[in-house]
Amino acid sequence: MRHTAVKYVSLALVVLFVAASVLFSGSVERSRVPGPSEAVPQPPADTRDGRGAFERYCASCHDAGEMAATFEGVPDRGLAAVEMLGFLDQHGRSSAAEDREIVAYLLQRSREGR
Amino acid sequence: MSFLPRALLWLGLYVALALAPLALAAAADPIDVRRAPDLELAVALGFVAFALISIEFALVSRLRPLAQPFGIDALMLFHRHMGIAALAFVVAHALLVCAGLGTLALLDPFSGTTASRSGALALWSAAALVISSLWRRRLALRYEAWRLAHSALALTIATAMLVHVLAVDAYSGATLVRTVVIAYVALCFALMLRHRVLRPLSLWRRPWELLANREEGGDTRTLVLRPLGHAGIEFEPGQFVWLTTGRTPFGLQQHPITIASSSVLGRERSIELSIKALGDWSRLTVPWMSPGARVWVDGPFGAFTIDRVPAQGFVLIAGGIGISPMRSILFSMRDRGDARPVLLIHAARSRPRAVFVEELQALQRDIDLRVVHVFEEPEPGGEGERGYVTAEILLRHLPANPRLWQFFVCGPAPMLDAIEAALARLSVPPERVQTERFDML
Repeated sequence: MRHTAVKYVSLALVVLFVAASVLFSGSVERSRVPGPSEAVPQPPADTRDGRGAFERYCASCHDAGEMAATFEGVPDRGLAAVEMLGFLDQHGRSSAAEDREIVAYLLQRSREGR
Repeated sequence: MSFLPRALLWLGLYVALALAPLALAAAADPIDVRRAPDLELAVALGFVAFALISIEFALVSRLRPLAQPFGIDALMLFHRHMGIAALAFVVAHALLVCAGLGTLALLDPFSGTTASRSGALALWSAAALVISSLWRRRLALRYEAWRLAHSALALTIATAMLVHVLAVDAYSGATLVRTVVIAYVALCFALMLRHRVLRPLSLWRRPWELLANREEGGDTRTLVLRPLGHAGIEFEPGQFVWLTTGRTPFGLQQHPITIASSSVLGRERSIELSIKALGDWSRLTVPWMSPGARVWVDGPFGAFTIDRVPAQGFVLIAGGIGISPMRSILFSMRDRGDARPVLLIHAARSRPRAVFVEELQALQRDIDLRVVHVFEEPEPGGEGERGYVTAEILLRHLPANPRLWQFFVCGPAPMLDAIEAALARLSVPPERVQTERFDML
């Protein structure tokens, strides 16, 4: 009956792993409940994607370090990020998703000291 | 340690390894901006998929401590189930990310960023690997070509996963998460190196010689092998070995074959492997193997053995070439002087297609054995039962109190499914039933 047992164990494990994934998403979200000044747009999963998008659309005219510096010293980084999104929306050829990736990439760079 | 605690221990370790990257990502959590919940769910599914795929390497690396409690055939089946589950997690991860970003362009492995391209490559490679494994026969893939492709795709997936997770640089921005991810993939490569290079290297120093290649009828041949310059192997009746033929043990012609001879070894310490012509290798290579040929034997493996279970008697149910482990069990009982009663139910298409019939009849004089043949196409007026092994046939022949006996069932998957159901109907406790599918690959 080992094979029947293997089937049921596999099924139980899949359910467990899905539950763990749901639990993870809930827990990290709770731990990052934003304050009023941090109501930022959803950043991307991938700041490297943001770097790629920045290089495709922005790097020919702008320096990433300089643009990241615009987030430094501002009282509200969330608001600055929204403003940057608006700028990209008006200014560039990138999609809305790519705009979010670029902003998250620049935010990360500013956190890391460019 | 008995089976259950050991099995639970391994299962606990499996769950811990599968969830460790996710747990570490949650603990480290280097991201300080809030993200969409579906994106976080996608990330979680991705981390689980990453871990599951990494552990898949360990399941099929023939690690003895892992194989011993479960048997390699059960591990292979688990590997298959969890491989499919891992693909489902990968697909769910990719679709949730695509939905969150509103584009399917991320599924293109030839354009986009390093992160998206490596992710797409892992996704499509995983899909190709699972499809080619599930439908190998339907796709008419040769076993050797499939093995090669399977290994290549597995390594591609491991590499692409590593690049993807590191390039995404979100949770893997945390040093601990990054280190663990690199360690998992390094372990995949180490296991592959051990399995494909170091193990064959060790086998190379322990060659075997083919003494005889006997025709048994029913498209079955028996290879008699003798160790050359070493002591060979000790095994338990019912176990199997991986047999490698060809010029070196590094070749792709490597097949799991049950040992059909007694575990009480003679002076030459030879073993016998009975092989039915079911595929290219067994049809085109085995019949032409000549005495004197060198082969390599890795093993023994398997938990389908009478030596690990207490029993007052045994019911052995064999379909087709599933008779091989039963032959080993019966000859071992004879050579050990084991007086416990045995009922052998031997299913085959017809009397001419059944193998070892005369041997089994002769064995009835040496041990407490009763043989019942079940033929799909019996000869007119011939012996035995007609049709398939059913609950009714079992009921006619089973001993009065089968609850104290152990059942061993070996045959093709449909037969095993039917017999497991029939034994359940007859209230045979599941823990008393040992099964082995010989088409595990």
